[in-house]
Amino acid sequence: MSQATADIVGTKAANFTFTISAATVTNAAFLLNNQPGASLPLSGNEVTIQKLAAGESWVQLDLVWATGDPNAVIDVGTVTSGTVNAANPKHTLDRGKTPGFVELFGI
Amino acid sequence: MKKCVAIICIALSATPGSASSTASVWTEKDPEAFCRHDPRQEIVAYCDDLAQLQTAVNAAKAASENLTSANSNFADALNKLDITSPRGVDGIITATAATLALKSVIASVLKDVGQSRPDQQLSPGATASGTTSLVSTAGSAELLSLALDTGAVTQSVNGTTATLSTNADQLFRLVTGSDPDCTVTCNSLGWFENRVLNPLNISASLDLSQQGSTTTATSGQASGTSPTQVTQAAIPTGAGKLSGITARYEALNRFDPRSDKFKSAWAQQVTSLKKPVAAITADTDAVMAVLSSHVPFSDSDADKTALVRAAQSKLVRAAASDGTGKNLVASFESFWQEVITSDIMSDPKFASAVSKTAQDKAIYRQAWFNALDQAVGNLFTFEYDYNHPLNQPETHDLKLIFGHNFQTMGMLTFNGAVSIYGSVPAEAKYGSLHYGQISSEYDRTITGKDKSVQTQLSLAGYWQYQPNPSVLNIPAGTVAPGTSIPLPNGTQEFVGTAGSLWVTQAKLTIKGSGGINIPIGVSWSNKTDLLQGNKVGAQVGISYNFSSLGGLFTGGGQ
Repeated sequence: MSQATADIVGTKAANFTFTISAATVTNAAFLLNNQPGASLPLSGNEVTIQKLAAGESWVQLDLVWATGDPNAVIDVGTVTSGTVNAANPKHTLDRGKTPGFVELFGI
Repeated sequence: MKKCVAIICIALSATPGSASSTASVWTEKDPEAFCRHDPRQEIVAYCDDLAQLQTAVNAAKAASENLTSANSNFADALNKLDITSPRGVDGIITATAATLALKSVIASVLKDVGQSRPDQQLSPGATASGTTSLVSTAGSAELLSLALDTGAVTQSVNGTTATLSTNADQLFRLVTGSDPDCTVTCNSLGWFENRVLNPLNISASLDLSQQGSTTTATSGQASGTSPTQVTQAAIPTGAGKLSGITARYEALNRFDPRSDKFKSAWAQQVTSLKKPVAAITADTDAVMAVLSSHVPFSDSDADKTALVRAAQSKLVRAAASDGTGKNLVASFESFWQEVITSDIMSDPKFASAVSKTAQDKAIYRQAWFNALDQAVGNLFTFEYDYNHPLNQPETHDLKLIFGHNFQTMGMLTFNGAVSIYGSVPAEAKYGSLHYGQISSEYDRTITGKDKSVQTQLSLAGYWQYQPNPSVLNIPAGTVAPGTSIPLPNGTQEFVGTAGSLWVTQAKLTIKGSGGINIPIGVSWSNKTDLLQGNKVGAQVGISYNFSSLGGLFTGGGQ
């Protein structure tokens, strides 16, 4: 909805990864007009974002939760260009729910 | 399927009016108490997030912090309660699935999933006079099954039995008024439900060819010239007699979800869940696509933002004004009614999309538990049987069942059992041990894996050792052969032989997608419990695997 609600905020065209602390991500894709786009590069639970778009964008995550998993904390992984920050306090994905959605915001 | 491993909770549970939202309030120890049992599905579906918000607001209030929606500590919970955003769609599906009466649809899909399971034990054990099961398999019906079997495998007396099996958890939910369809692990009953009720299955078998009888005193000779007084006689009291009760407890190997061993085993199973998870994602996208054609989802971003911001302000104000959560629930309900309009609820495309999602979630739930079984280790089932065969002493059987599913290569099951007599008379020439047995069965789906009718082949072998011949009760009123002298009540005789009883069985089971199974078996044995000499027998049965107790009593979808 806005920078205030985003899970991750970064500068436009930033290259970075974000992580979630629980569950297993089996697929990640941008959500475009309520439909998933091409899959995003994925390494373990680290999703790579190339060239962050201006404004709001959504990443849809296919998640498999294990028994005993807590809510998953969304955090920034490696930033290769630009400035990127996770919300403070960090936002979470509710355990058990799939798909999970991560809101990005480019400024 | 609840500790709670609430991977997916298809919230079908609360019956309107069955719970009171005012009975419980938010507490630090139980922050979801104010919403968990609310009769409104949308409140239950978003209960986690409502509790998160109420907790954050109460903490902020205690710390005299900013009590407006601008407080960043409220952002995570407020985001999840934004039902106009993609984050909120999971809750919309969960909440509306019940309203759209999808129970029967889900029950139907569960039945189809269960069709391919080779491990479900729906018939009575090998010692019944009517059974198609020489070997007991490790699994049970998820909810309820009714089986009718004829033909014995180890017994001399051929009969017909009707067996009703159910899961203790489902029975408990039915009796207590909780929704019988909720087979997902839920928080509500915690340890007791997860460790006691869920893994426990019980069944009762009625021998339809036995007459129930009662011994009664006679009042004098009515005819004939016999000089001996007959003082007692057995009179029939009804057709069909309880011949056995079985309790089965399914146990997984102990595991610690935090251990590296479990994590490694689970990681190997995740691949098998990729497809069903992707299906849920696709279904969720379809629901969002339908929603986007309705107000307020179709409104401009500015209008939606205004709507959501106003609602979020109200939610925070409500939570701040009442720390119990009651006002927050009322405020969220108001927001829900504003967004999920009757226009949306009456859209057949929406109902169809939610229905598809609910079905795929049910399939995923089954797959998830199968994956957990695989990751944790092999399944053991402990079984206790109480048997009361015709004119024989009652017995108690303890059985250990081990099954290993090789997936496409079939399933192998081993049984080890010991049977003891319920009571041994003081002057008996036999001990408490009735017999010990080991047996094995191989099951494999041979045709129609992707079709509505499947066939399963089962090959089984059984060895039983008896230290003494079988014991036959002589009923009251029986006279000695060739005489008119009545035998005393309570007399027992050895019949048959001690030693080994071997049985082999080949069985074909036709499994229909509607939950109907028809097993047809042929068996050979070197003797039976009471008679010497080889016996070739045939067994046939029919069983119905109900997937919904709710549907059973309401007539929906069954």
